[in-house]
Amino acid sequence: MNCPMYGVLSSQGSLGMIARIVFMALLATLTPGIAQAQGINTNVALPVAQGEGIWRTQLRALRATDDPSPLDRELRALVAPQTLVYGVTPRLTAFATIPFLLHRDVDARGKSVRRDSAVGGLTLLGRYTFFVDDYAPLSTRRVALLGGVKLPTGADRFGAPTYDPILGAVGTWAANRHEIDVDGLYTITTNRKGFEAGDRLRYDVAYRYRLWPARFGRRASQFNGILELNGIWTDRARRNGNTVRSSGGHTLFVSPGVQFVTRRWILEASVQLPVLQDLNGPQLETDAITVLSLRLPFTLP
Amino acid sequence: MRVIRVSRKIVSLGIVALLLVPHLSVAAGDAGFVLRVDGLACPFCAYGVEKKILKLPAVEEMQILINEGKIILKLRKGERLDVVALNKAVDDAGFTLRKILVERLIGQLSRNDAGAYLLRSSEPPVAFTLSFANEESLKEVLSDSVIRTVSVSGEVTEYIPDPAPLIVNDMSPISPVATATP
Repeated sequence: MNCPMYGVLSSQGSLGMIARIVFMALLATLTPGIAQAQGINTNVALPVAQGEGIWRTQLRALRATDDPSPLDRELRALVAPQTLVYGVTPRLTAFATIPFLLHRDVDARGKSVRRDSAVGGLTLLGRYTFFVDDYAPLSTRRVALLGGVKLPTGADRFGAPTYDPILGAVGTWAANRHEIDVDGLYTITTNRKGFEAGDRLRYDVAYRYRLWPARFGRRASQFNGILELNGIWTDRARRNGNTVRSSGGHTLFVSPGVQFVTRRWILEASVQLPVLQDLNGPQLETDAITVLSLRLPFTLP
Repeated sequence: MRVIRVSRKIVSLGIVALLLVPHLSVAAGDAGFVLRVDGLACPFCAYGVEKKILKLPAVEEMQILINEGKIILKLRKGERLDVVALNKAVDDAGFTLRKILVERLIGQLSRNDAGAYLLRSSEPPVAFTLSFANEESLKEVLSDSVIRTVSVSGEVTEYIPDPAPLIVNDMSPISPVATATP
């Protein structure tokens, strides 16, 4: 196509490649690590009963408009990650997440350049809880290791179609109305056709406070307030052995949220607001990410 | 008129009692079994425990008191109580069973050749070896070579096949059995 704007945003040429990396990085923020989280965007080490499962469906809406380049680009994307969680043993839990890009709108200088949808790469993850201290009713301390891989099953334009190993850890301390979760996940990106996205580190801290009830009654439901810090650091990408200077960086979100928990479902909402965006080169900066999520338990026959 | 006033008072007390006690429909006089579980951090977690325990043949109903970490069981008549299976159900759900509280379990008290006290109950079908938190206070009930029907309350902290050890906190005779005259 002759359109210069399309050239900037297509996968052709160095500027197009930069734009592709930018969009991939932004879209990576839309795919959470794993889904079994008491904190909405943070992992937890709480158990899933052996032989039982959880289905988590999310909607994550991203808006990024602060473009330091003269192109004045804007990106709006809506992603629906779907996660299945399964209790293999009381200590070992398996996760499978696949993100669906419902739509992505790219504007440049006020004109819509691209609108599309796609399916992202399947991520498989295992969590093994090696430390458990259930020290009181409503209270526990747990630490778990995380390990898995992102598979190259998704569309090219929704992330690099590579096998990317993932390693991490998560800790949870719950005591009656309070809960703190801390996690870290490192993704080792691999090379495909001369291109390698930068390695990625996600780190999260979540604090949950049970706003209601002060004390559980006959109906065990609860309404929580949650405050999270969610960080993503991405290394620079490499193309044909050369570092892409306008790639990678560090973003830190503050994410307030609310959560309604019953025995049979969890409904939650969160908004992620960037408080730090230290990006390399002319990359779009995120305005906000809005999250809506529902979790439902199920039993495999 | 006096009889009517007394009846109204009893009915009022009964209504208050129904409002205050847990909802589980355990008949008065039935043996009570309560699991003390730690780590149940939220209702969603508790649902996993509920599914595991309700699969056990011996359990007809249950109620979880999350604040106290207690699971009140109503047992199915005639089904054997298996403390190993109860512990496994809680463990499979990912939590920790601290103890099984036993209340008003009626059974036949006996002593084996090694001198250990045994309690055999027919409802539910279960047997326990007994140890005593305070044996001195139970001297009147305990006597050598005498088989008695007793009501026992205590706790189980070791989950092994029958007979599991039961630490007795309270024991009272139900009816003495006539001993053989020498």
